[in-house]
Amino acid sequence: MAEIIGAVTTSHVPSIGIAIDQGLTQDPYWKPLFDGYLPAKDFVKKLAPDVTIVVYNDHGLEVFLDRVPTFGVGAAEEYRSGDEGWGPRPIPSFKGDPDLSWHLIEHLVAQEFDVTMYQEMGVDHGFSVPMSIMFGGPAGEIEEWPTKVIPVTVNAIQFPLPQPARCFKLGQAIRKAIDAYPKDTRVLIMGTGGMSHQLQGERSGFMQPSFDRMFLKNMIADPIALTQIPLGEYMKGAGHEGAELIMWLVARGALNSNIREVYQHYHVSASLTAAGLGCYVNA
Amino acid sequence: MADDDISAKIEYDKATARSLQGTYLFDGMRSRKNFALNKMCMSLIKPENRAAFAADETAYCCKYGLDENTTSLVTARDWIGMIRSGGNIYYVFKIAAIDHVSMQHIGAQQNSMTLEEFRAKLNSHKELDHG
Repeated sequence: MAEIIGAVTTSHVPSIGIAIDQGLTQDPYWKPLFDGYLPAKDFVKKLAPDVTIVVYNDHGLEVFLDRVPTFGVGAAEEYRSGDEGWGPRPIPSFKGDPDLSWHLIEHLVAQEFDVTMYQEMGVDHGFSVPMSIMFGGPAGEIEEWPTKVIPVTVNAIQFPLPQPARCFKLGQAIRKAIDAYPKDTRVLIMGTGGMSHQLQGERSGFMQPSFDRMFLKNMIADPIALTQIPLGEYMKGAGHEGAELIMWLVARGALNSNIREVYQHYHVSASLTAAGLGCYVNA
Repeated sequence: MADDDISAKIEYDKATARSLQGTYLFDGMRSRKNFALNKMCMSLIKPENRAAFAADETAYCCKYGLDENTTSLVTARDWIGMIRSGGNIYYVFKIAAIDHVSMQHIGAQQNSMTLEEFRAKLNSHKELDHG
């Protein structure tokens, strides 16, 4: 039987990818952030997932404003790092697991999550940066990804975004789908984005560590409380772009009510973003 | 949930966003406002389009149907002007990538600060973190 063996939640700032790709991870600016990732790399190495479900938002690679899918699931054999405007990242392509992808799609739609289905898709920094952070070497370097992947997309580019509670329920539905998959498969779920940051407007540069710390605490203690915070309050507390934190709730929903935090890291800041990371297993 | 509650919920989120000074909620209303600008920016994910843009920015903007005002915001790299006129930061950022300009540079200009001042503002958040 397949099983969700753990969850990782992390920010996915483009400049973290640039720091990796340009060999800047030991620069004084970046070193504290990358040092903080080391225990998280050990965590996923020990878990050794067969498949990693990466929940992220597209920032204008596959998605333009002509059509904006609220939720989507990738079902490709392979996913390549795409050109977002500054060239594709120099990393290997990601191998998919189309059998599990289609199982996931069938089971999500049967649970009334009517996802967009992608048989061809590129992935942007929202996907590739967390993968490099978790599965790359100390400096993020990688020759071959040790896990297959399934991209799950959540709209965070144009409001209305899905409600926090809906994202949590999507996680619960993913959990049910994985539990029902007959093939022995170790599945890690990654929720990406956040933490507090605002890129647009005169409020750009806004961060709020107190909100982020509250969020990190309640990822363990009271995720339901996080699902009850209105999106407006996410924008107020974490910034217009910080509303991406809803994707952490997808990962949280795929775990048991009671979880154990194996590792946490919080760093202010990676460029304009307060960078957070959490590693969790079921209690 | 009663219909009134749904309307109230939607309005609450919009009103909260409106109350945040210097925030331009990117909802349907805003997305409709300058679709052409975002569409032009999206086209820049293709290297050949980046080359065409760099060769003649005004002609490129014209091809995508940008009005005169928006075109001048683009050619002047008036980031806050583009955001105010309906640009979405993730699409607009593709212009910055052509210039090899960082998000910090955009943030500084939006705040009417120098890059150094803006970086100091970003760093100042460290002191607000009490664990």
